[in-house]
Amino acid sequence: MSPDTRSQKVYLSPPFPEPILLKHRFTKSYRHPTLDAQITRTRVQMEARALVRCQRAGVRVPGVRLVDAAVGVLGVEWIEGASVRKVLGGGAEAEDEDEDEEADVEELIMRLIGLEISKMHRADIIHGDLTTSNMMLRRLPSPSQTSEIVLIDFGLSSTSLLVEDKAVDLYVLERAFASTHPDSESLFGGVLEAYSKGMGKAWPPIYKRLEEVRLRGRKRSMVG
Amino acid sequence: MESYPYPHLGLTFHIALFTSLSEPTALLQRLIHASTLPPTPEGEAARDAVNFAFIDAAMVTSKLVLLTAAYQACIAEWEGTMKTKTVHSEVLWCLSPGRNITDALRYFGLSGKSKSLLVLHICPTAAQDAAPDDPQLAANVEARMRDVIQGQLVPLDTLISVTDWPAIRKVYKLASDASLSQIQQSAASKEVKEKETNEMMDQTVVSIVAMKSVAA
Repeated sequence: MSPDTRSQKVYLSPPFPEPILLKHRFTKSYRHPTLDAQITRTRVQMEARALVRCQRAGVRVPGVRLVDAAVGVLGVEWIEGASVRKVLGGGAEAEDEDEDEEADVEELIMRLIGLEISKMHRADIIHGDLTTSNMMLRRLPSPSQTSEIVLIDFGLSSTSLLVEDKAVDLYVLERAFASTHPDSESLFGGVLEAYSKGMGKAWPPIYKRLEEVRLRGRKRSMVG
Repeated sequence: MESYPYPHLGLTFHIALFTSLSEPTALLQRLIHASTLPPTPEGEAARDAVNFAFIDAAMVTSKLVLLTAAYQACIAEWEGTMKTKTVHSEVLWCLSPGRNITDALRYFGLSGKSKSLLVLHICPTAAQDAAPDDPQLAANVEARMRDVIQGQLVPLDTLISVTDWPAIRKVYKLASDASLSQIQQSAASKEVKEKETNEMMDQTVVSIVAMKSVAA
């Protein structure tokens, strides 16, 4: 979760069973009050809009539950589960499990991640901060066998039709994998495979651009 | 009737669902009449008697949608940014996806054609030691609702069966949503697809209602 927000699990009306996640963009004393109010308002607004756009495009994201842009509060559906980062990084705790089974689960998670990102990019939404901490593996009620990946934290998102922005989105995730998970290459390969299937014809140009971005980094060269 | 106290607001939302509505037109006339009375004690009494949000239940997909709209209406009242005159009419405005108040009332409010009605009352939470005739007590709120509405009070769980799903799809403009076509393309049976589609529409409507104040 980004450092300029505080998050809290709350129940609005205690007998009502469904909790929500409140995300408060608190006042920054180092900014001019007028500017601060406006920045806060726009960020809450952008995040709420991105969530609804994603939801309508069929991307699994938390639903919006409450918006109070004037004070900088966004309430979203509470997702029960763990972040992908925790699931993948829990190697020490998961040692007694069957190694093969674990690899299968990882492969499945990568496929689901690739699929969700492709749905998001098809709707021209750029997440802006794709990391394994910003993806939740939702714990579904016990009879169901399937898993769900839910993308969270759209605080840095934007909309764009550009191949460049989609490629950079993927590159940011690739770097996040490389810095937090061992054997990241094969894991990220699984993500890209599912992503390419989801994107169809749009995939080759994005792949080409991704290779360019890998060489130069996230920022575009300003030389020349 | 169900009551939802919001401790941090000091308010309680009372919600009841009435079906088999008889004479919706008469009720509508009564509402309009009450709003035109002068601010005399009699006029205020007539307004108090119908001081509810009357919502056509066919246009509401779930209890959560209504609670979300009511909460957003309270935020607007708190911040002084209400688009309508009362918090109860603001609930109708919050439910509507558009920016037009007349449309909000026409699509989501009581009309001569309404068959079932959701009645919402927002008031301060009654104190623990409130007198039995305190108007804010749930039992008294329910009694006032029963007095005004000629219909059958049914459990809120039956709401799902009175929702007009095709109308929801139209009013909220959900027809071209990829989330819905995705369900249609899945291999599930017709019944499962319909159930999932309705659930997806409900989820989407909750989000649309919640973010209306910052909608594009």
